[in-house]
Amino acid sequence: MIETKIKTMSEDVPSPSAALAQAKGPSLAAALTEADMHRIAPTRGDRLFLVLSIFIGGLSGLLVVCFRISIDWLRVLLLGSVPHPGQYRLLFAPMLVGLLVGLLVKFFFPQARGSGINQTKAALYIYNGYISARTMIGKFMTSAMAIGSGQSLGPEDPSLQIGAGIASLVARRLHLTRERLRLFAPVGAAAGLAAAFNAPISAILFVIEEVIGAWSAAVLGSIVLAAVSSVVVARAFWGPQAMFSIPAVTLRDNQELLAYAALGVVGGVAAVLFSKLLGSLRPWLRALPEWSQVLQPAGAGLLVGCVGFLGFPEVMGAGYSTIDRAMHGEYLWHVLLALAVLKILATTISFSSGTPGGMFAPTLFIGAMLGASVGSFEKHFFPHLTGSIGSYALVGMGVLFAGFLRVPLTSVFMVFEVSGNYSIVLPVILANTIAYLLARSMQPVPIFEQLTIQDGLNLPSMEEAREETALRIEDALHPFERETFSGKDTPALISSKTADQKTDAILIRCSDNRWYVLTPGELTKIIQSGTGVDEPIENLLPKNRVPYLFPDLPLNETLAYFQRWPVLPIVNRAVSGLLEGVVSQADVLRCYQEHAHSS
Amino acid sequence: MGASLTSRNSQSRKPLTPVERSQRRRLILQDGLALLGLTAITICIAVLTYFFFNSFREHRRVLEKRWYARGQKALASGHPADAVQDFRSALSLSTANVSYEMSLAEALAAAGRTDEAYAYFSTLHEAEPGDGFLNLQLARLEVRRNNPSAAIDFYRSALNGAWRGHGTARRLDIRLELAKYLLSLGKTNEAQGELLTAEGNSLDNPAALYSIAQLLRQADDPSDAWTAYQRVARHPSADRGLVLQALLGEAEVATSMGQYKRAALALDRYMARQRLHPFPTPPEQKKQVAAELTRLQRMLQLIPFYGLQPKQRARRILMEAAIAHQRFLDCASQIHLAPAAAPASQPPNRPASAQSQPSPGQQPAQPGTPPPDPTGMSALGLKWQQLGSFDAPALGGNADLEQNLVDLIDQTEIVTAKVCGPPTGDDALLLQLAQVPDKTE
Repeated sequence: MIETKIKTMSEDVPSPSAALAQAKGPSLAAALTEADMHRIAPTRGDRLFLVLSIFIGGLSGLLVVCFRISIDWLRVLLLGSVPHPGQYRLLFAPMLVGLLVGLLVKFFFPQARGSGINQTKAALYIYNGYISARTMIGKFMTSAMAIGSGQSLGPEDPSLQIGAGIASLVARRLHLTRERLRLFAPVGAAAGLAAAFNAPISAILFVIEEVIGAWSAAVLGSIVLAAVSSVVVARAFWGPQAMFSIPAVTLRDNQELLAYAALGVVGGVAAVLFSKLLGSLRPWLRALPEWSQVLQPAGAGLLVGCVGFLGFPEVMGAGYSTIDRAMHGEYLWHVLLALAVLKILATTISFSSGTPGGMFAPTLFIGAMLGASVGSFEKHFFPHLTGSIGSYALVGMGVLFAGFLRVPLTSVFMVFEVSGNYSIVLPVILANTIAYLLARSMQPVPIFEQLTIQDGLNLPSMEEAREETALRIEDALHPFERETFSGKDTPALISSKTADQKTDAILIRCSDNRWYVLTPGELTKIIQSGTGVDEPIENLLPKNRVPYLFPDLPLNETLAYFQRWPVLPIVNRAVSGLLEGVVSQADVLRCYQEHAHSS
Repeated sequence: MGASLTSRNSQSRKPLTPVERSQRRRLILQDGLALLGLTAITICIAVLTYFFFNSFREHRRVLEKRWYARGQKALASGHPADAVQDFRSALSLSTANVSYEMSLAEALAAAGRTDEAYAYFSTLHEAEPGDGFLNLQLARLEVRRNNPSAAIDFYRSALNGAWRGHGTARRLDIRLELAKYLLSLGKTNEAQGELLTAEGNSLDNPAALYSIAQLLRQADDPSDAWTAYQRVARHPSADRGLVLQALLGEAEVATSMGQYKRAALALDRYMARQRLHPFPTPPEQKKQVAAELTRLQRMLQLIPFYGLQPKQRARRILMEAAIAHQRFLDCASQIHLAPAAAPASQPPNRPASAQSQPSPGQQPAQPGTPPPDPTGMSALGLKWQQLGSFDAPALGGNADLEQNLVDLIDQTEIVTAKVCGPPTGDDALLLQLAQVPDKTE
């Protein structure tokens, strides 16, 4: 089954080498070798990388604006300007459009399936940054149709993939190196997400937390440039105002933090439930016969349409206006709770059916409803609490973001950016951390990783990488139990003192406080040469010394030196030349093996 | 690796060959053209996006206005539930529109969805706590939620809040609304305070003054009500109908305070105005006013004002005494009071021929047994008997006697009204005087 899935995924994607071959063209840049290029225009790559980041940002911003407007237009055309319960179009529109989307995804755009985040990661880690124009166009069309027709999905993740797609396209046209090509996908992804959210910092952090997994000065500059330029373009159309506006939050009594902590617990549990539901239904639906997968988006559309038809049209689509209304305290707490539960179900069905669309907006929706519900409940029963319902809804959004998507840092900044409100910092940090820790303990595998596994891919887990304990030199360090010598000692003295020892390394501390590791063979050679037997040994040694290595450095830093030195003296950072201990290659290997065994 | 880097560095240090220089120029040209092409594509997409975006924005604007207009129409025609749907629709198309939000909250309140409306207004209030309109709406909702202290607080915040245009008039309306609410809660003192403040703020607004006067009467403050009525009646810009209503109010309040001269004067002015500039009023009202005026004029003839000459005052007291005594005799005969209990003496200024004649059908009381006197009539008869006989000059010089006689008159009217039912004619007037002796001018 997994093989079939991989085959499906690969239909539109060339192998890494084929992707590179496709990148070569008739232009001079394509014809030149890397060495030639370095000689003729050594700084071309760096400069183009930065300039193109701005272009990619601008283009991503424009495409995301078009994408959002397409969704809104389709929504108006298919569901009417404002859907109301009881309208029959709520039943038929999502079902019929779902059928069309199913056919398009099956026969034309197989890579458009899903949210777009894992596809972007796959482009980065497997396909050398290659995202085909067909995938990008398919993602744009099918996601717009699905979300516009009322499927319970959001536009942010597709925006991320559209941004990555345009970045890949532009980079390929300019025949950049494989390394650069690979890095352009996250740059475009950040631009797309930043424009969709009107939140550059969150987009940058998300790409670093979830897509790249590490800070890198080379790529960070480009990501920032792309994100900023895309947001500038998006704001030129939508204006500078934050996505949601709530009054400033004044935490008059720190006891109120308990209320937000309760929200963190509720959000953490809800995130786990949502994650488990999605993780169970999606593989079950994908295991159904091939022909049924064309019909699944239609079935999902019908079910979501039923929810809207029977009284909750708010659940259909991305639901930003509903989030805004919840923030304004327009709903009563039990209605908010019902909306949160129904949205979890609707999103699970829509996403599991393979309908293209994102998880960000539904996550925010569910979080906002839960938050507002908890806020309304607490306000009703504990009227002395000062936080507004809007502030609870906002914190709720962050809570589910942290618990479900497992991006704690992004979740905090996302709340700040979508509300433009920094006064809520303490409740957000507290509640998000609780939700994140709770979700991690109850569901160790994050949702994106689950989806990756279900798709038969083996992409790096960013959360795992973050949580991995790095081994340090101190873990393999042991004391040097034999005598060490000074650089002033003579070879004769050293030889006499070590003659009865069976040693493979003699540690010499030179007068500049640096260490030299002398092998018995080297000592024998010096003595046999006959010259300078009574001279200080440091005058007879080669000029190179063991590099400075400290106990807190990563253990892998030692590996490069074992070819030259049999053991490595590890010194104190504060007292120059003070020996803390030594490590050998065997020590390092043993340490890695023990670590692998224990984990 | 190191070797390759070294060789690369040594290569790059070498000057470029003519072929390499040409390649470099071509590369720069190609990159420049590529960037130019990219710029052109970006501009094209930007233009397309601009038109696409604006066409949709325009469409949205049309839709949101249509929904809003529908909502307003529904609200005005008394269909707040439909208005709620329409305003919600408008708001979903323009989320940050405060006036839509206010309209929606208003519609929710009008539809009786108090909790939702309250939640909505509360959130808006959190954003703008100093907004007068929001505070007023919250006050009204708190009234509905039967939460008086919060309602009063919101009313006061609305009074102190910011209003966009017509602030003075709106504050006056809110103050009157607050006063009515306070009256409904029985907080008359607080209501009086609000009304007097409102009066001070609306001296150039006769309609408001009239409303204030009416409320002051409800707040048990006839004196200030009378002043307010008077201000309306004398206001140069007050319309004729309002002036007439104010004069009637003035008369009524003056009467209730026992200030019959003022009451009569007000009614006199009413009649005079009607004669000079007839104003369409129901004929019954005219008749009632005329009758009331006659009644007051007669009352003014009866009242023994302290400002009168002593002799004249004594004559009026004796006239009242004769009326009261006759009322006593009539009542005594009506209840068959025993002759012993009936007054034997003649009233102070009454001719002897007219005294002690039993009424027809009056039964004599049984001698020797003290008659029961649950009504107080016997005691009253005894007092009339003990009073003795005197004339106006004698009475005029004796303040104690005057007071005793006035007290007896009052007592007689009160007791006989209880025993024999409400009096008519002069007795009714005397009873009215007896009921408010201290207020009488």
